[in-house]
Amino acid sequence: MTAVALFGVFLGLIALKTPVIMAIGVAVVGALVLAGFSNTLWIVPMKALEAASNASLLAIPFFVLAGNLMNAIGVTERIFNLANALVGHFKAGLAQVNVLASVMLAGGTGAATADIAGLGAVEIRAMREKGYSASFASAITVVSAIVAPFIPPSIPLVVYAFLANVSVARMFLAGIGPGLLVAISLMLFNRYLATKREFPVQERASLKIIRSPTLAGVAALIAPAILMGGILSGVATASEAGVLACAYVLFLGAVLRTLTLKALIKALTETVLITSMIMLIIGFAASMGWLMAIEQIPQDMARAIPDMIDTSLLFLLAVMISVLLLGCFIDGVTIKLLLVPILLPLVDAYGIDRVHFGIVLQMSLILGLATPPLGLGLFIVARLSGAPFEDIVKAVLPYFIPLVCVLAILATMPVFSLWLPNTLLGPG
Amino acid sequence: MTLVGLIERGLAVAEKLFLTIANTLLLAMLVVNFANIMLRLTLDEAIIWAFPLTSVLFVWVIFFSFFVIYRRGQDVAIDVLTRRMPDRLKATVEAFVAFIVVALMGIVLAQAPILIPRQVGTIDLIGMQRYWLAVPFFLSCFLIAVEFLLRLRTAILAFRGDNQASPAS
Repeated sequence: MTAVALFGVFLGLIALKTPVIMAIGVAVVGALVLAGFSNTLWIVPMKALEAASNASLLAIPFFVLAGNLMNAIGVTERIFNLANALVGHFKAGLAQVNVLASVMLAGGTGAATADIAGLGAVEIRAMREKGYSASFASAITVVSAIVAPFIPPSIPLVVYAFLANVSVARMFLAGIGPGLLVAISLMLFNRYLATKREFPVQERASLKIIRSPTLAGVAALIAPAILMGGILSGVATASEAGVLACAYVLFLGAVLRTLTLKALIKALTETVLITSMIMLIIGFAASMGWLMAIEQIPQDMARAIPDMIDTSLLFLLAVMISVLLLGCFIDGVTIKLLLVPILLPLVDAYGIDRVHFGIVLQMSLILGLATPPLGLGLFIVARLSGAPFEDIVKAVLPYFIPLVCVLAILATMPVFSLWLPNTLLGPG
Repeated sequence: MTLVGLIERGLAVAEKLFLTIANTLLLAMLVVNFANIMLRLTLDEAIIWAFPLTSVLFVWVIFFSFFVIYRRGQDVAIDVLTRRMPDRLKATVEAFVAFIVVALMGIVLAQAPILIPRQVGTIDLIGMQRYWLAVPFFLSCFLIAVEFLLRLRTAILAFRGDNQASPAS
């Protein structure tokens, strides 16, 4: 009953345009009162305070800041130029550039929306100038950003690591293979589309042309190397690696002479707002998790669901379908905060590795970025390109073929997620 | 100037102030941690208060930004249903949402006298009383309540057909 009230009120309020943090807060307060905990409402601000003080989430502001600084000092344009010099002459050239640039920038931003907002304007403008349609340019910009939450530093994977009590380094390593798999599948699909449609052709860049963007672009790629190198070598914690990446990007901005006070303030402002949003959602959802634990909702589900679903693969399938449907209406962080505490006992009961589950969950969640009616990525590119929302949706739909195939591969073959962390860090 | 105008101006000043504080605190987190890493790598010495200070600053960054997020309307909200509603129904829904936000903030603020006495003891290596962590949170909650009271008023005026009031403002 408590669970029904909790989720019912939450979904009802979300449908009425209630801001998500407030919807969680009201649903929790309502459910606490219903469950007879009206004397313990102080748990709501208490849990928000505890979540904000959590050391394992301290890396988030530095990862976000590194990405915002890269955008603010103009690194995104240089990364695009580098990708263009490398693969611009391929069939469906700028569509391939779009994917490769997202892989490169993902190492700095760690979030799909930052990828779209940062690279999207540059990519869509370049593709429009070369004769690609606005809707196709928008579509490939959205789907290529799906790579971002897999390539370290990934903010969604940090949040999952915190919720599932697994190591951030292990999640980061687990994300690399799936991220590259998504990129390769999109590039192959672009190649396939090029056999069916006429795309503008670019000449192969000469060494002289490649040299200048390469130097600046490669310099930008050192930031993710610092991050992963710092964490894996043990020289720095995850948050300190984020600090080093920020310091490096600031240094790069000074060398390139693109770092201004205005750019710095813009990056700081965007960082505090995004970080606080994420942390407040986590904070308010923490009291939801507390209530569910007190009411033993996850344990009840862990007892009931195995009777209905026999195998771990069917369980993963059920999770993927549910998350894909929820992802059409609710944002990814919220879904993760609602579902992970409930699903973890089941994940353990089915003998699924938590790291593998995290990657499958993330892949299912991130598809919501490009699914109507509420795919956040679709709205951002529609604003950037000016293309009609419906046209972008039509152009995005074919890309679900490779993306769903990747999801199926990740679900059925844990090796894609687990090989790298198990090889470098030992079995979890 | 009317009372509403005065409140609106006060909220605008608070927004700028809170955002500046949050930005400065984030920059301080970056500087302290960078200095700590450099000292450790070069002189094999560490700033032992760097981590607890960073934790405190992070909590404050989040809670000072809390009000700014709502002032700027940056929390995620889904309008698929409401944008299809007729104006009066939309205004009713907006009034309802504003009312429940004010109520929630009121409930949270009412917990302050219970929560703050529980936050006793000093933070290691910083020496600051633990309850100071929560102060910006309650300040933001108060300001959000005021912000949504104004939105409630605007929505009611829109419902009554006052053309000067826009529900979105």
